[in-house]
Amino acid sequence: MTQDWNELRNRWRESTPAQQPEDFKMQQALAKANRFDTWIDTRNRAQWLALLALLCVGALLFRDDRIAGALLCAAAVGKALILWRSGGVAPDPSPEASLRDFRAALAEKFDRQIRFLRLSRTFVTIAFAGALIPIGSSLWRALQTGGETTQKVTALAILAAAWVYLSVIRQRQELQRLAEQRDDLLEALGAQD
Amino acid sequence: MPEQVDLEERFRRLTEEYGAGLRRLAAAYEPDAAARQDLLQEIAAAVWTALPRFRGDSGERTWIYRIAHNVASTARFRARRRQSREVAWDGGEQPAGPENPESRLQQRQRRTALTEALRRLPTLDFQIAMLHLEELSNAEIADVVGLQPGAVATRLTRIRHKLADDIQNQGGSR
Repeated sequence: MTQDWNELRNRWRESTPAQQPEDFKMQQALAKANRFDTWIDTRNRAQWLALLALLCVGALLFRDDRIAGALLCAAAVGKALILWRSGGVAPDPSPEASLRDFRAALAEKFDRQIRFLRLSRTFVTIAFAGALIPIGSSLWRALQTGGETTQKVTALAILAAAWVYLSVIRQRQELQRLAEQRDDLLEALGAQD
Repeated sequence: MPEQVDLEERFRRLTEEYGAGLRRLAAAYEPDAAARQDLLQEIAAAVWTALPRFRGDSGERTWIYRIAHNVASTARFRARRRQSREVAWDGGEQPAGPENPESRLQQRQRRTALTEALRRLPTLDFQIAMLHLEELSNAEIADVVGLQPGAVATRLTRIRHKLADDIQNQGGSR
């Protein structure tokens, strides 16, 4: 058996891929990581700005329809809280931990994210459903009276509602992805015991 | 600034010393050459980021392999989800081998048989086997994976039998 193992070890040594000029270029690796971080930061900022704009428009234009305005603002504030909380999610655990501890910490992180996403999805769904009623009534009134401002306001409200709805769909996809990731991890963890 | 220079020097030394082992590790995790390159860069970035925190509480070798395996196994989960096309590692970037084409073919088959057998192992066994092939002691492997040295020894015995049988079966079926 020892001889077999030595043979395997020799094969392992023979399997060393040749060094490439790109190997271990820390500047390249860090630049890549930084680019990704910058992209995430930019996206988060853009979402915050969009929310701010939505809040301003909601507050200005829904003066006559306080219930619709309040619900729209609540949805926007809720989404802002979700973004803020998502941005604050702890990064991956340190890879310096032992393999077992690292995977356990990673699985725990996924669990936390999944719990949080479920909660936020519930909130957004309720806000969306709640906003539909006054938006519908505003639209009905706008169609009956034919006021130009009311029509514009209603169109904006519908756009906002569609945005919230899409974010619910995106959260569902994210949940599914996280659940798959967690399952993979748990499968690997199970193989250790 | 001297600290930065010192860090860069340490990083360069580590990559020189463990570069070959890390390339073997990346090749075992990632059959695809481009993905392997990305993985090596991810490992390099993780090592570089963690380097200022390394105080030598554990051995340098166990520290670097812990980082490499954790980064690589996370990448492996991602790859599994992507269900990326499995590309058999054909050893396309091999160091110079025997001139004789027949010997070269044999050598390539031997390498492929080993990496394929390794990849068929469960994740933890796969990692323990690689660490053992890199000649880490049982205590060092235990430190990397988070098991007791006794448990590592037991697993290694089982892994050796499994690998030897698997490779023999592959050889027999060819």
